[in-house]
Amino acid sequence: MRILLVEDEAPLRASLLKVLREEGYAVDGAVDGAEGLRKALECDYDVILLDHMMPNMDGREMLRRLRGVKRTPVMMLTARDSIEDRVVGLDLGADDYLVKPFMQQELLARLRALVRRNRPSPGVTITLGDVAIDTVARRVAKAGKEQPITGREYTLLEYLAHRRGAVVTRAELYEHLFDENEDTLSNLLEVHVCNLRRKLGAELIKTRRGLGYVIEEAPEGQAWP
Amino acid sequence: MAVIFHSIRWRILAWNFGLLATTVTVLLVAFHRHERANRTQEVDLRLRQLMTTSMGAVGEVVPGVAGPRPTAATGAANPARPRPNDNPVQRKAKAEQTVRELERDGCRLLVADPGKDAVLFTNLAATAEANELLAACVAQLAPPGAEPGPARPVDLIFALGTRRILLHRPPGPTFVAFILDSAGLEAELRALAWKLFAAGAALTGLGCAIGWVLAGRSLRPLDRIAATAEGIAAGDYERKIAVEDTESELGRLAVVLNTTFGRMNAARERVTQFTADASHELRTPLAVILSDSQGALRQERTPAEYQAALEAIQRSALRMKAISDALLELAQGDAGRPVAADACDLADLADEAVALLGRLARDHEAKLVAQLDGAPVKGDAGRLGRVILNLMVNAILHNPAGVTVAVTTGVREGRALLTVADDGRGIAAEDLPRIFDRFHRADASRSRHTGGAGLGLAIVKQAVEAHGGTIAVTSELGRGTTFTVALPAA
Repeated sequence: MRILLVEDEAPLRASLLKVLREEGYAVDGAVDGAEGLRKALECDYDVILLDHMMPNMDGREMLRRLRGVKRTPVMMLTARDSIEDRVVGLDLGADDYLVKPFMQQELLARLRALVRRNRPSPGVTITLGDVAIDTVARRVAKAGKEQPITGREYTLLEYLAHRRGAVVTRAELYEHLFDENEDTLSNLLEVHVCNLRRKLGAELIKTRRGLGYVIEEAPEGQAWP
Repeated sequence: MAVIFHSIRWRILAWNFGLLATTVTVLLVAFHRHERANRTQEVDLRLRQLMTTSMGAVGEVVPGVAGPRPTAATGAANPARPRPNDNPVQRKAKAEQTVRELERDGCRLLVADPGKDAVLFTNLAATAEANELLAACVAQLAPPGAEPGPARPVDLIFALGTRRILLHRPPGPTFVAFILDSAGLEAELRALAWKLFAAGAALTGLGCAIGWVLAGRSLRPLDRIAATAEGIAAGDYERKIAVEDTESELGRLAVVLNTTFGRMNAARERVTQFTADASHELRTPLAVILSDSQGALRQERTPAEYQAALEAIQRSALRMKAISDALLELAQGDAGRPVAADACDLADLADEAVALLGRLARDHEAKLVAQLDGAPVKGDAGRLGRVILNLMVNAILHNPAGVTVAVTTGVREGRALLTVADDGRGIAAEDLPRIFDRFHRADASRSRHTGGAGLGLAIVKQAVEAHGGTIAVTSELGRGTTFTVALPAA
């Protein structure tokens, strides 16, 4: 899950980047609207967290320009909490609105909800054969037994699970799993896939040589034991 | 009902009614009296004519009506003139009328019977009415028999009941009463009075109706003003009273109210903006504190991580403190905190500021230039020092590296002047009027790269004005900005 955080307040930006990375999201930061818009147009983010008042281009302006091109989910973060501000923000195309100061739990829950809303399967639990993914608790169980899993591995699994039945290219996986600071030429992806196969069974994620990875559509009825 | 009499429209109507009714009553009563006098005069004239003709019938000529009584001398001197007894009217009357003589209480009474107009004493002794009339006539005269009568003929007219009586008293004990019944006249006058009353009532009613309509029309703007004011009170602050005629009294009132409401709305908007800004400025560091503390508490951290989180929290807390200090200073200034009146010199304060800012200027590669002539003032040295520091720090921080900041002090025309000029990027003309507003920053997006919450210049302006001074700013984009502070020189 790759997120763009556009926030001009350096301490808050640093703090949120850290939390989101610890949650296993791949996060890019932008210091103002202009940089944020450039990055948002360059890369397909899963969610954009957007501050309202920023130099060079404020959040509303950036949202307005972005909405002319892309429908990436956007959550506005702002210290302005008047009804009018919220209405304007939502009407410009924001998908959610969070008023500063906020609790991290709420930010993360809203983030999950926003991701879920933009996935084809709306449920909170995804079942793949005997593997069950709880997208709220971000936990994975195989045959009813919970498997220890890292944040990055979880994100990879969830991404493939949401796109199950379709081949996901390595480039796409890199774009959604790793932020701009990570070397896309590394074999990190292979390492994560290997770990997931070890924990959840070799059959779960299949390699399509030269194309990418795929989780086959699970037959009905073999769900959670 | 009580509500009705509080209504201006009703009060105007009441006054209108009162004035109109009084005026109409006075006019109509006067008219009625005049009419009565006229009619009575007509009756009296008829009485006199009657007297003339009747007395002619008995050989006496009454002067003034039927011509002067001729004296023997003039009658002899002018034989061409006809004798009074030959007056054709009198002659005719003589033939038509009967005059009877009556005796009563020693008075000789001649009673004329001139025909249909008069009440006749045909059987005077017999009727009580005749007696009464006679008694009234006698009462009008001097006691009969007491005197021989006037030397010249005397006429006396008076009213008795519905009758009008002319008493003619030639010399001697004789008198003649001519009586006309004026009952018809009285009835006519009563009918006239009723007609006048009806006309007056109609006139008053019409006047009141017109007054009611006019009062309603002239008071309609008041209703509009009230409706608008109610709307504003209900929260529709942008409403304006529609003014058609700005020169009328209510038009001017509406203009004044519009201006007042506009100002109040502007003040309300400023307060709202200020509150929103203050809450934004305080919430942003609060968000950092919450985020960092929650992030640190999510899981076990290394001591270095805890330390970093605490430092970030402390920085945010310090920023909140700075903002609340600034707000407090502004609030105290607003409350009219008394200003100290210590003798100090702007040159010394500027000199100190230059020394204090040496390091900041080096860090930002700014050049400080000072040309300081004595500028003694009375005031709070600490506050004035902060004014100078504030202006200089702004000039250093808000401009790109390499900027030159020039400070000058001096006295001109009894004013102690301080200027802080830079050759930096300048301020856009549309921003200039607002730079002293609280929380206003030239960069509307509230850039935090330069620090501060946008309260510095507001505090500067407040401090300068508290010292009885003025602050002015001129700026040109790309050329730089100059702040000029003028204080009363000590």
